[in-house]
Amino acid sequence: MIETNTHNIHVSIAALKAKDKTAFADLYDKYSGALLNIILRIVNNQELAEDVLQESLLKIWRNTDKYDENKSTIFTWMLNICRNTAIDALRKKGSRPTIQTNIENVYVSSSHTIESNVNLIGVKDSLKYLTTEQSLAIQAVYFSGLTHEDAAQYLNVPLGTIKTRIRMGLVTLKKVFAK
Amino acid sequence: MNVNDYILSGILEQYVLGDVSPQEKQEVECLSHIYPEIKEELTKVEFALEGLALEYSASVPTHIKQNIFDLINSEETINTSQTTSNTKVISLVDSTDTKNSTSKSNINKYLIAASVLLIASISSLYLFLNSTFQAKELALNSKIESLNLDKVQIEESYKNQLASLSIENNKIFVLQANNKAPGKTMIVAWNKVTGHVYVNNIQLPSTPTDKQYQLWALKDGKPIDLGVFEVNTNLQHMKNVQGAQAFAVTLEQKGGSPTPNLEQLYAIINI
Repeated sequence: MIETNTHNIHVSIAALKAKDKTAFADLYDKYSGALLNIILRIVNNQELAEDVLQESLLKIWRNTDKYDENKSTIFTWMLNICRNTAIDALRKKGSRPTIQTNIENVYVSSSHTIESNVNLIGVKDSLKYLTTEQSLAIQAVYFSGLTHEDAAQYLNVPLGTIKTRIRMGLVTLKKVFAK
Repeated sequence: MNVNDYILSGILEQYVLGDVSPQEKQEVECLSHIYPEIKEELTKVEFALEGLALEYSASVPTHIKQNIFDLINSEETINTSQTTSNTKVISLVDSTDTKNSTSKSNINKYLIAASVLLIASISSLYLFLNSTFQAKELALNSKIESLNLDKVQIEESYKNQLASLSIENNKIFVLQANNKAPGKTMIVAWNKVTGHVYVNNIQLPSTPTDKQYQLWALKDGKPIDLGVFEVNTNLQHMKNVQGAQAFAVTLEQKGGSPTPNLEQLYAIINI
């Protein structure tokens, strides 16, 4: 069963910190799909990704009191927990994050859109505003969890170029998502 | 426009993308806390990447949500039952106490008898040794007097130093260098009341002859020059500062600069 578009849900941080389960359910509804997508691209295995998501969300629930609103948005905080849990899970299996084949699919596709191996929901597709190079750089680092160095090596360009592409891509994305 | 340079360096993007060293992480968190421009930029990057992530949501099987909430609920049940069993343990101890009261009063009788014997022996011992003690006491008293004199003199001579170095008012900070000098540290001591600042144990690499390290305090988003320092000397007294919110070290031209060059930031610590 596919969840409907729930991106406009407002999550109350105060309620979350007070261990309010309704607030946690809101958080889950809003972000679990986005988090699962990123975890999937790091571990490249549906079953493992679901386990990592579950473990990460339990960590998030147990540690809501440690979240500091002044340091980052709730999504950045949750994403860091998911990323670390995913990378730990990979280490336990003896592998490390690798570039996913769907990145290559993007590269050969004529439009700049991503051809993901997962179901996309409510796609506005802001990546179409970017150049292919910018889009690839952002996907390699953001969605696949590669370091900037690994992404540079994979895309066969200097590290400085990767940084510039990500930065220029984000300049555009900041305008797209400006609040 | 150092802050702009910092923003343009791409470090904020790397931070949000999770690709920074622990040093760089602390640096970004410190600077974004101090400079509203950096914080604002950081939040924009975070929202852009959140927006992007939400666009590419995967479908989550419904049983995952069910699993998570089942686990959360069962954790709560375990916690509650633990609290109940603790209460039971306490009441058990109380009832044992009442049962043992008879045997306890017997023990008390023996204890009283033993105490009486002990007091009697101590009294006779005291009488026996009293004369010897009196002689020794006189000698000791004169020693104590001379020690007291010494103590007053020592107290007097250290009084001022103690006042300026009182533990309560002094804070010691260990600054960890970033990737420009990995693993290196230095100490900054700051007296919040007097404003005195000292640096010590500087492990930073030696500077070229035309450069010097410069210490800065950050206050309300403004850098305050605390002077330059050398790497190969001990405790150095820097310029005074009140109300500092962070300390930072940059490499500057010899003699120091009016504003810090964030590209050459070596270490920063939030207070």
